[in-house]
Amino acid sequence: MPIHDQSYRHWEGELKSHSFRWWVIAYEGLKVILRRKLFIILILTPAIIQFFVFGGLIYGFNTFGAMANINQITPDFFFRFCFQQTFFILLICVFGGSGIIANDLKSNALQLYFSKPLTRSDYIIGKVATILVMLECITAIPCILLFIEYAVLSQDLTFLRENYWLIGSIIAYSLVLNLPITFLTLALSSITKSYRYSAIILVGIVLGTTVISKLFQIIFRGADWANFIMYWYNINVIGKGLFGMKDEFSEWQWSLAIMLVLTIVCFLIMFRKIKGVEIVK
Amino acid sequence: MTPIIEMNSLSKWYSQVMAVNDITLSLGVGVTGLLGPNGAGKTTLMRLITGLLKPDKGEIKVFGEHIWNNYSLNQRIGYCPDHDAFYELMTGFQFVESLAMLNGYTRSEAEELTMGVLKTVDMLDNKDKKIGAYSKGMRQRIKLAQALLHDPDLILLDEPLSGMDPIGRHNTIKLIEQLEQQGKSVIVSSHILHEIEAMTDNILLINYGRILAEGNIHEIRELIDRHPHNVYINCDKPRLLASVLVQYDDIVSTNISKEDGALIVETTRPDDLYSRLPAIILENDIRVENLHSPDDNLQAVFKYLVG
Repeated sequence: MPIHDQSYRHWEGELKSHSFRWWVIAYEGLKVILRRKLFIILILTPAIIQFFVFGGLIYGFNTFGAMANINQITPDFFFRFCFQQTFFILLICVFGGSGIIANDLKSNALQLYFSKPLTRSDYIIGKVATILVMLECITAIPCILLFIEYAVLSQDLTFLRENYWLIGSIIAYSLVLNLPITFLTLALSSITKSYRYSAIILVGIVLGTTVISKLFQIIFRGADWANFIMYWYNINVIGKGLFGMKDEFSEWQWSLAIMLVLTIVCFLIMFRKIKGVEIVK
Repeated sequence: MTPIIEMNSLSKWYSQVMAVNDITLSLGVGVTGLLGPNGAGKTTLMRLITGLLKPDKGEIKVFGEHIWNNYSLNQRIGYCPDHDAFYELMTGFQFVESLAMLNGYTRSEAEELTMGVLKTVDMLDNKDKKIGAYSKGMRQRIKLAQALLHDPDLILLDEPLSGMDPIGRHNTIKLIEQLEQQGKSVIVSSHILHEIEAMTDNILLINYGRILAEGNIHEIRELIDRHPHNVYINCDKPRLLASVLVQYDDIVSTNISKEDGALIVETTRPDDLYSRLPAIILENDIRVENLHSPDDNLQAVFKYLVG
């Protein structure tokens, strides 16, 4: 029988870098979602087709519009592109995101993940990145490409000189569009082991707030504050603020504060629910 | 000298249930069997050692460092949980490879390690099958593979033999012996005495979250043997059998069960009873339907140790 030193040995192995552990989680998540052909055909493809439609409009304006003396492409054009992607954002979150933590809970995968050198933050960042990468692919990236297309097709540098700030607005607005709903999706996914329940609650919250808002407006006779209950209203108002457009109803800062609070609350729920071992009290 | 695992007044409770109750002990290199009935606190103790759970009281150090919130230490620990933790649509290879990457390996390193560890647990032939199609034994081996792939110094195996076929059990026991020979620390939990007996001599007896005994398994065996055993015998002539058995010195008492008429024999030397029974049965033409000893399990030892 071998006789061993009973004390611990100083490890001679190399401690691997911790920086990109989250990417493993994100990469595996994306792989699982993008393996579903129906998801790509029915959700991602139409979202990208919309990009080509807007790209065609820019091309059409540059080729024929200037001659026909129609209005210029304004910041409103880029805002409209982003806002019209909200339908696909919701679909991606419902069909791609709602199971993203729920499935880990269902399959007890968390105890394996956290028995590895992976922190809770790594895990959360990885999951956020999984959804965010998909959402940015249908919002910020195509919108910036549209901006570049218009700048390239323009005859001179006037558009670029006057609207360079739009790049910042597009990035900021894509984050406003994508971050709160990403955190909301993940928070709901972390409170149940069923992706179906998580998806139903997500749709209920996002669409249900519109119904509740309308009800309050009826009860309180058109009270403007009731609009703030509506999820998409706030997103719309912030967008108009970021793209320098006036909104007749309200200040966009209020809507931004509401979305910020929603995001923080969702993060806290997620952080509390994600544990290596679920303790049933 | 610093032991590999040190626990000092370690306690963990879930609401009003004490899962681990004031445990102070230290463990070194080699295989340690964690033995206890279901619900004894074995899994909780293992989760505390891996840092999956935070102690409510006391402290736990692994390799001389506090384990809670010390994620880099997990690079030296391999944990094989008792419950399945799989994505059924993944293949065994994909599952182990993705967990290898969480240990910080690049894809090519992870692939190489995964192939190596799947060979070790004899799963190379089934590596490309979906986990959903695996048998219970295969699942156990895949769980074992993910625990061993990064060559950890401390390995925690929670009920690793559960659901395995005899060949799988034999191979796993061999593998654990090899790990011991490599100088690794292995903690294996089970609620079955002979499973642990096949792997190690060094055991920890745990019940109701407390360590009842620690040391050599043969001493525990002796405790079992010294402790009077009850043997239940279902037969057609219980009174006749009782009258024959009562002549022997080791028989403390005989009773007839009111429920099913079985003969309950209390003996101080169960092995002697078992060896003489066949001859008595044949001589007296007794038909035995069932024979078992409820004392021949851990619960009886625990009762004896607790008093």
